[in-house]
Amino acid sequence: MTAWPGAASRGAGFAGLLLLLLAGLVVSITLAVTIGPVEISPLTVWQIAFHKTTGLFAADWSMSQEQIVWQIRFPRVLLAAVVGAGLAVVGATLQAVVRNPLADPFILGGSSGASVGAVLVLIAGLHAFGVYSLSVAAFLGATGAFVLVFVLARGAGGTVSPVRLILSGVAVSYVLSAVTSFMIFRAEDSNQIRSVLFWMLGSLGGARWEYLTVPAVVLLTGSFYLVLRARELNALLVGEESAATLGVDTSRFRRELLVLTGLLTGTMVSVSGSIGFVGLMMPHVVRLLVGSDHRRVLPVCVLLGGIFLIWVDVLARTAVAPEELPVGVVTSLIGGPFFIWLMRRKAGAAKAFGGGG
Amino acid sequence: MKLQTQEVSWGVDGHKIVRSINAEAHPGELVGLIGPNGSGKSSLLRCVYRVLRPDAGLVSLDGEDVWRMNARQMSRRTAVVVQESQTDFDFTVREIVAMGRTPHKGLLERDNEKDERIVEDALSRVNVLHFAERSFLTLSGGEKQRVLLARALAQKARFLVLDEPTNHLDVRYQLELLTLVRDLGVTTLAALHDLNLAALYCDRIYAIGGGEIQACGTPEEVLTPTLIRSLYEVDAEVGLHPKTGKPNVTFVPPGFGAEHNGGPG
Repeated sequence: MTAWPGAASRGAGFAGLLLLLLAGLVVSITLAVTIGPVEISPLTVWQIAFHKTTGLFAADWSMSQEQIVWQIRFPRVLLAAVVGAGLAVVGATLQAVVRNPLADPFILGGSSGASVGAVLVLIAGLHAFGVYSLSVAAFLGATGAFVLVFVLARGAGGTVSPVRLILSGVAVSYVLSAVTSFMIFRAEDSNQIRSVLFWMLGSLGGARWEYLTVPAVVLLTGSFYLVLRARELNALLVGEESAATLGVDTSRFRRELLVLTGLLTGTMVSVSGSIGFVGLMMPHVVRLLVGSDHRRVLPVCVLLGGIFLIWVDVLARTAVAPEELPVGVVTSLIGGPFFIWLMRRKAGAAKAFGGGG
Repeated sequence: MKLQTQEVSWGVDGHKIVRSINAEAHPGELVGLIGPNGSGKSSLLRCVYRVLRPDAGLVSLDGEDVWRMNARQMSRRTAVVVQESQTDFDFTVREIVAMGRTPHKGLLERDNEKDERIVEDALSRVNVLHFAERSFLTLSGGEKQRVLLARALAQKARFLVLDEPTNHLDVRYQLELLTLVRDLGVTTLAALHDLNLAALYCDRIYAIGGGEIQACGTPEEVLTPTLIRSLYEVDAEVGLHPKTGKPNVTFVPPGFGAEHNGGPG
């Protein structure tokens, strides 16, 4: 038998990679918290964190340092990690569901639906849920658009084809974007318009500890479920009939995945606005690193997606300081060219290999 | 494993594609389906491997209705090599073949040594072991076809369905693939375009035309000039090959001297 790495050594290599990324995440969180107008050392950061969580360590730092680290920067950096991870996981999953490498969390109307909800709150002043109104409205908008797309894509016998999903997603997105534009156009207060636009471009600036719990829980349970079904995701990626003959109940599985990705997208968008391209880019970067097997792709997406968005957010708040860039602007500036590169790479690959037979 | 279809019909929009098909494959038999494009072969196969639900009739394996099984139970009994649409995603050959173990694995279960042995064995049987770590996307059509057969082998099912398995393959691999399938001794139902391959390898053949069985029996019984004429509207001569002892079909299209046939020598 030829020598090839057995499961044990491959597994060990992958465990090593996960540990490395986990360490990278901790380092990224630490450094991201230290960065800002007020400089705070990494040691102080963790002393404050331990002090706040366990009560240990005497406070030899100022109140304002503690405020900045614990009330402002920590929630923001952790929210970036959670949202980045969530968007990456949704992207990887949706690319399998619609079997299209250019799919992302917003292709099924999630972004435009959330915008309608958010704009209603910001402009029409619907504050039914108090301080959570914006998040709740964005969540309802995203999942509502999602359900609409799903219902429109249903064909005979309740089957949902990937192509119909994408087409109805595009159609619904256009209509909802028009609704948003109309409301902005009709808005009278320029401050309102500014805050709407800022929200639509994505921002982690509003992060608070209270906003973290729900996204973190949704992310962890969602990712766990997806890792459990990773083999079936693999089969789905290769082809509809293949998956069916490998024992995957494809219609039912696709419905479950749509509910789950709708929930994940709605949750992430509701706390961060629409941050584009993370869900598109991260899965591809991850596949370049570890291949297409979802048992490896999903955990790496969580870690790498988190690290990526932490640093994008650092860039967003330091690049033109004291002003702050919307984080969605930064991801789009990186993501647009990436998308084009990906598309051209595919075209090249098709040319190189398509002729073989 | 024994396959039986009883009065199986399937259609779309009131248009009947498969009409009351009664067919069976006995344990260990290699049964061929022949027929022109659009005759309903693939649809019948899809009914058999439980992707299309028949409008009427019953498909059973060892007497068990396949629609009373779930997808997973079915996939442990039946492995399929389909005409697959392209994928844009990159898996290695080994990963593709390892997917054949999906029906046998629990939610958090990892691949163990037994799975790896089965995958290794499947890879070597279709002679793709040497490019096991290559990307599936970079393979030629014929190589892909062999890899997909390896995946079906890794499934360790007792019933095998093949839809045009020799498409894209050169002569050597056409023969190797069918020899391999025959030697597996697993009940097999295969749609085949090449009548001479069907004659060489099949124990029995069903000829399908217009969604119905036009003839069935051994290759000698089915592959007659009359049937080929009525099925494909093509003239052919059929003789028994002296070496193989199997029917040998030679097509005689217009302009190739068909009019001289039977003339004085």
